[in-house]
Amino acid sequence: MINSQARAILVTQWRMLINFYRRHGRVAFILSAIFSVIWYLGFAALAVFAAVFLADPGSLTLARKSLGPILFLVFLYWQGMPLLMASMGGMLDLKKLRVYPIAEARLYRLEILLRSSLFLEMPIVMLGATIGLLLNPGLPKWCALAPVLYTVFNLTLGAGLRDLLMRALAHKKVREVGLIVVVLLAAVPSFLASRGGDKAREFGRQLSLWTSGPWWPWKAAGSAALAEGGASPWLWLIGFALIGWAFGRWQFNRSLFFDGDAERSKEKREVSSRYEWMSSWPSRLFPDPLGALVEKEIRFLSRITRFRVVFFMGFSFGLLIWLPLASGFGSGPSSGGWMTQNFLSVVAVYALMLLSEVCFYNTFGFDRLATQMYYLVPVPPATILKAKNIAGAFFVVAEISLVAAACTILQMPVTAQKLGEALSVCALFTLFLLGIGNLGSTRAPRAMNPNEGWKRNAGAKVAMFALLVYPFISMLVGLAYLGRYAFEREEAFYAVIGVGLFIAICFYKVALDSAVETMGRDREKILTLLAQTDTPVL
Amino acid sequence: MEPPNTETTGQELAAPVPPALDVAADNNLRLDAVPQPPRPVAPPGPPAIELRGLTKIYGDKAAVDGLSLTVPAGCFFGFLGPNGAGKTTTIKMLMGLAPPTVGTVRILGRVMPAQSLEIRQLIGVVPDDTLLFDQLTGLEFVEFTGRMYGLPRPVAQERARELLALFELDGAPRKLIAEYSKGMRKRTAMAASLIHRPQLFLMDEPFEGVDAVGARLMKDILLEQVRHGATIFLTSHVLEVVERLCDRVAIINEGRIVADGTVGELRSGAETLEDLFVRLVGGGRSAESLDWL
Repeated sequence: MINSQARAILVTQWRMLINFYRRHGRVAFILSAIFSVIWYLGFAALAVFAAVFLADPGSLTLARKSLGPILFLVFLYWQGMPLLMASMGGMLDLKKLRVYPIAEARLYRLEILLRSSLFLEMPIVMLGATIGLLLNPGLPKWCALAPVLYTVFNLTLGAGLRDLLMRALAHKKVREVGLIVVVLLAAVPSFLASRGGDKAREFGRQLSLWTSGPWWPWKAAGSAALAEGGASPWLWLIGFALIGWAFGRWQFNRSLFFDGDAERSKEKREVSSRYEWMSSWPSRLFPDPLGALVEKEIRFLSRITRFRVVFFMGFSFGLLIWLPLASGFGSGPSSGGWMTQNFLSVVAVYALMLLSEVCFYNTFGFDRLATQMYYLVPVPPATILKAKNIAGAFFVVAEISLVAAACTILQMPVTAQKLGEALSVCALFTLFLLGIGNLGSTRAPRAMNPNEGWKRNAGAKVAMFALLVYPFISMLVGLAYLGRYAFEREEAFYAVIGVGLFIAICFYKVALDSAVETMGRDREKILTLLAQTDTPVL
Repeated sequence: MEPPNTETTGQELAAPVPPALDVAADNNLRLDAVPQPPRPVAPPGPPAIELRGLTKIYGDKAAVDGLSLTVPAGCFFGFLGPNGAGKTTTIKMLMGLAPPTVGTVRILGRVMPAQSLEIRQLIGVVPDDTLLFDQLTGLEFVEFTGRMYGLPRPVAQERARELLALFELDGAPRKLIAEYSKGMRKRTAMAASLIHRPQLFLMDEPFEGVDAVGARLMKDILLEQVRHGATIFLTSHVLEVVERLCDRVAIINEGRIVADGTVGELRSGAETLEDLFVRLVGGGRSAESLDWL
């Protein structure tokens, strides 16, 4: 029976969830509620389908073939969705209940109860399967226990995995690597496609073989549910349920006494002399206060998770995304063609676009406290913006160098000419994007959490303005390539790029002047906008 | 300004706890371990807190190093120390949030962690604000806390409403804790800590970010609780407050107790608590060493 504490915790969980959605306004709340109803109705329909399908003795042959793979998909959904949802902040953190008089064993059971009450999709489907198996006259009644054991296994394993992941993510480096791995996984289908259809099919076949062994929980659950294989699948299934329970309990206990702050304090934060030398170059090159500002900007950006992930994505994700086009979907990089010949420029511009999110647009978003300081120290606003722009340009050059290195490793054409082309095209784009960024940073600043890897940095207005300018820049670059094609001379390319650079410098100058004026005029508005968030201040 | 009248609150808080405490039964607690009114004035018996050789090691660093301390029952105890001295780690161990590496903790005569459930039933905590639930309103959170201590829902609701009114947090009932200021969060945590009439309060910087009116109210309530026999153990950086409120103080530096006693015992001559504190932990730093300043 559920006692009063458990009832209070369940009610509070739902209150939190409702408050979480209500916070985004009435319309968003109603839309979320409608979406939830439709979502769960969909799973209820699946449950009905599962019940009807498994209750029919005539469908057992088909069930024997398909139940294992279906239960594998159930497993993937069950383990994956709650992990994604956990990062939303709507889940009640049971660690906070440790100060209250609740036994730890009860807390674990509550964790399982909370998870099953919050992520009802799979329990609904498994309920349908259980009912179907009970109603099937061709199967013994005890077969209906298989979905129940499979549910226990998935719930407890999921709880354990979530605890494990949450502890691991308390470490900054693990968080960054995890994010990069997720990003790279997203590019895997495209990469596989580039390797050719046969290889992709072979990969699929291997995966299918790998997941169909009798020792897997989904296979054991499928066999047990259909009374196949005697006692063996039941032993596997019971074993998995027990292991899941023990694993979940073990991880839960470890998380209960996990002190994230203490763990983070153990991480080494020593600054290496090489890093010190690399990041102090602006002070050797520029006079203060410009040198100090550029140096601060480079140190600051290179230490925040958000920037590091985007910077890494620039020369990894971009390459994987564009590689299929360059290699003509399976025909290999040697096939030639415009994309292969200009791969370096394309990937460099793509990397620049990614980088602009964290380096150019909304440059005051991360260092909110520093923004207040900018208004207190006797430094002209133009110097501050120029420092941010120089730091951004430095990272663009670093990114292009890494893209060129990666292209060389992938045996894409990288010559001095190609590198010059890529640098000049990127310089054109950079000047325009810096101008847009300066305008956006002063007219529509937004406070950002430097530890969040995904949220867009630029506001809607800035993004829209950038979208309007992109075609114009692309047209200039297109004209340059067209000039080279028409005149069959490199000089034609650089002549058009030169004209483009002149326009870009004019645009940058006008945008900088306008941004400086806005900084002086709207200081209160800028500081107010940067304070409008509950995210951490760095 | 007149101090707020806390007499009414004391009576309200002294309302009998109904016997339907199924949480105690469910957790195999004896009902006599659950606080039952009336609470004795200056309770005889064991000290409120007894720490012996308490040590907490993180990596290769001892955050708390062989700490031994006794806090008598019915005492207003101030636990002081510079930043990073080990105050929060100690209070976390007292709350049961971090297990000690070595050492014993006895609270109200009960041993941690063997009797941690009984101990938790008897203490009220004002932790750092990370233990609040941001997606709840203040009222929802305080009511929830009451129910965690086994109060029946109607009683928890009634007390939560009264406590929020007392702490002047009832002005924006739909506001989430996420939207509260630092002072409001502290007042919410304090209100929640009172709801089950604990015998011992463990408070980590309870006055941090609280305005003068709010702090005055909190101090009055705490003094009232001590008069009714409760023990207060608090950490604070505001030495004037500690000097005025606390019967006894202990000063911790680099994980070790460097002073323990009444303020009068520890001070020498016309020394203030601040002078004493700086003398013990200040390390003789002086701006005079910077010629240019």
